[in-house]
Amino acid sequence: MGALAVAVLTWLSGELKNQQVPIEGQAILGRGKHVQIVLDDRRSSREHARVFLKDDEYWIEDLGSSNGTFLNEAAVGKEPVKLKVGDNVRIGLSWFCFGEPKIAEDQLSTFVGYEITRQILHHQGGMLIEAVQEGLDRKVHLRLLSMQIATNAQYIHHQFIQEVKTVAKLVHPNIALLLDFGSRNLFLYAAFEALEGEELKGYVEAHHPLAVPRVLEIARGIARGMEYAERQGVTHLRLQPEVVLLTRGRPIIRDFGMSRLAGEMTRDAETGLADVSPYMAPEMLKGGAGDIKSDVYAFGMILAFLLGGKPPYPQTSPYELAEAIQGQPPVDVRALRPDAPEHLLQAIADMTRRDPAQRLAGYGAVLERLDDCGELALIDDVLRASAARAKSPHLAALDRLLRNPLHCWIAFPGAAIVAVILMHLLS
Amino acid sequence: MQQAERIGKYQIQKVLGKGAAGQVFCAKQDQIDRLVALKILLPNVVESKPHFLERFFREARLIARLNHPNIIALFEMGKIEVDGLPLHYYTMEFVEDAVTLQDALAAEKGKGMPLDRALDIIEQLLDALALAHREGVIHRDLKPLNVLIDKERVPKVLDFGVSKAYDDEDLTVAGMIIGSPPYMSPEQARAQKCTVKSDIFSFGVMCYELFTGQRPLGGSTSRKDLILERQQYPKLPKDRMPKRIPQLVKGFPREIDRLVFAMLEGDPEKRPSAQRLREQVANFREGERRRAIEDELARAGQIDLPVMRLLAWKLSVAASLLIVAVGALAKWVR
Repeated sequence: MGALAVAVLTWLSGELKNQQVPIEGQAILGRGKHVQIVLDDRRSSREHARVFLKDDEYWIEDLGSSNGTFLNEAAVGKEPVKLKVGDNVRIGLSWFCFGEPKIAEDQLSTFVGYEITRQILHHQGGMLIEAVQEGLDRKVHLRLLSMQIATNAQYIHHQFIQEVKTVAKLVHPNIALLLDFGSRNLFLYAAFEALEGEELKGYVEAHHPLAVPRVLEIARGIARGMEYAERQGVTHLRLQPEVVLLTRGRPIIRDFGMSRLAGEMTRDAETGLADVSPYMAPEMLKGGAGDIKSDVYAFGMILAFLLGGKPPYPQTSPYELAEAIQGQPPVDVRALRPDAPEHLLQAIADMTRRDPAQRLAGYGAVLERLDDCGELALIDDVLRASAARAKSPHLAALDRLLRNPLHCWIAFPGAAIVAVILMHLLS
Repeated sequence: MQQAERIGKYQIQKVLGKGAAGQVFCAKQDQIDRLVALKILLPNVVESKPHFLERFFREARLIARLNHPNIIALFEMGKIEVDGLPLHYYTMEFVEDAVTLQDALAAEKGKGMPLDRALDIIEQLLDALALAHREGVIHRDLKPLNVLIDKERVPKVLDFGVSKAYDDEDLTVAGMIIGSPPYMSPEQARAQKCTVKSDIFSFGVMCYELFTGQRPLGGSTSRKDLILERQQYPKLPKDRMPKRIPQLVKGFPREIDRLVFAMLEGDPEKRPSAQRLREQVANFREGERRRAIEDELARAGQIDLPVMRLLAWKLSVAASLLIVAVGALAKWVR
């Protein structure tokens, strides 16, 4: 389990029942005025117990209190005891539940203006849920940021608002639209259109192998959205098939601007990385913030996925994945799709160079390459059709016949007369 | 009502429109600084005519159902208290620096738009119409003034709210004619049942105008004459029927001309659906790209043009000759 950077004690008793108290590193519980969690209880000592972070785990110790500290009804002795999610802590008549920062169900059920229907994703302090906009009967995706629980709360809140502000500028047919933003029930929220459709990942896996023109069509849609965002000065940095939705055939990119924020909150203890995706550019794994070229890399890998039907790296653990992206060649698309046109493979290679300096510079260049590929694919197709005509002896003969206008004028009326005579003879 | 400076989390910038029951403002949302079009229902109207509130909600729900990049989006609906009275509002996408399609047409100075640009717009609008029609929403007032073009050249249909889901007839006043006469379908002019195919007729008029710079119908100027003429359509004297587009625009593709005239059919049943039209336009453009490449390769001597293309017109002459010949021979033989 990754580290609990922030833990939570939820009051289970008294006036503060159901309130969550975030613990960042350590907290002292007691009757005294200067402790973090004040217990209004004469059975409690001034400094009664301490909850603290050590070796990525939270521990509780009794600070020599007169009445003792109880963990799941067992007294905590002089030695600190490790806390597990769901443990109950009691001091005198005050009860707490130890846990990860989790958003209480009852808080969500009263979320004004939106009716929560499904939780999609949940990470510390934030979550992505599906909800219905009241009065409009429309499904939306809500990104929530709890205002109570966040390590460096003020910074993150500010960051969240900045991100939403950026995304609010993006109005494009290939980008999910921001509908609403606000603050309610201790949350900051951003509502995005929840389009019906199929996730790109599932679509590609179900329809593999996709015809090259379809691959190009989808790729062009994504690239147009990215190119527009690039011109607005916005990077995605978490581009992967999971964030692309196909709505009535049109690819739509989601989660713009949410990446950095999500990154802040889901940083993995082992790698120091946020969730590593197989589409992430190598420079981002070296701790770089990532820029438009990292997005170009991710796009190139998506293009490879559209063609090959497999993610560029099969590894699943973040650590192995990070290693592979930085040192190993990706899945060989040529082997997966022997029919893939050379120019398309070359374009993928130019987008996914490990050294950002050698990569295509931006989405203007990407779009140009895709257009070239489309043109070349069409030329190939025309040439193939022409060759097929020449190869088939009957077609070639017909071709020769029809190419000569004289033959043509003789052949048609002749055929007509023969047809009529035949009809007459048969009837 | 005195001019409020803010409504909820929106700061009023300016008035965009005023009606009997409501107002539309341009407003800026707090914190994220986004401009929105904010529509309110005047509280005194709700008091005197409560059914307006129901209509307001219905309108909002209807637009909210149409999530499409080429239809102005609805953001959020809410209410605030003003002097103890509820003030209902909803917010929509505000297109900055937009031009209407009417302005864009006017900029062509009476000529049509270049084919490719017109088809770009038409393809997107057909996609939007296909969605709306699938959702059972009729626009009823499609015209170039109701289409905005944004900075990215993306067209967006406005005012789907004026229309209503065609399953609720109760709001329709019998005999009332809604719509702009030059774009109105004959059935609308006759105050008959308006269907999704009525939108297709209006769209056909728009397409014709995009391609040629002039309207297919309506030499007469007054609203009354236009409606009278439209009521009689397509039973009009020949000189008042629309001219085929290639007569006005040299080298105009016949396939597209045929599509436009299919939209202008007098019988709604005969007009193709938006979905079908969208596919046909896409196919035509795909074919055009292919033909362009074939031409280029043939010029470079890399391929022989497909014989069917080379002989396309000869074949059609031969085919018609053949039919005539068969007919004549059949008669003669008998």
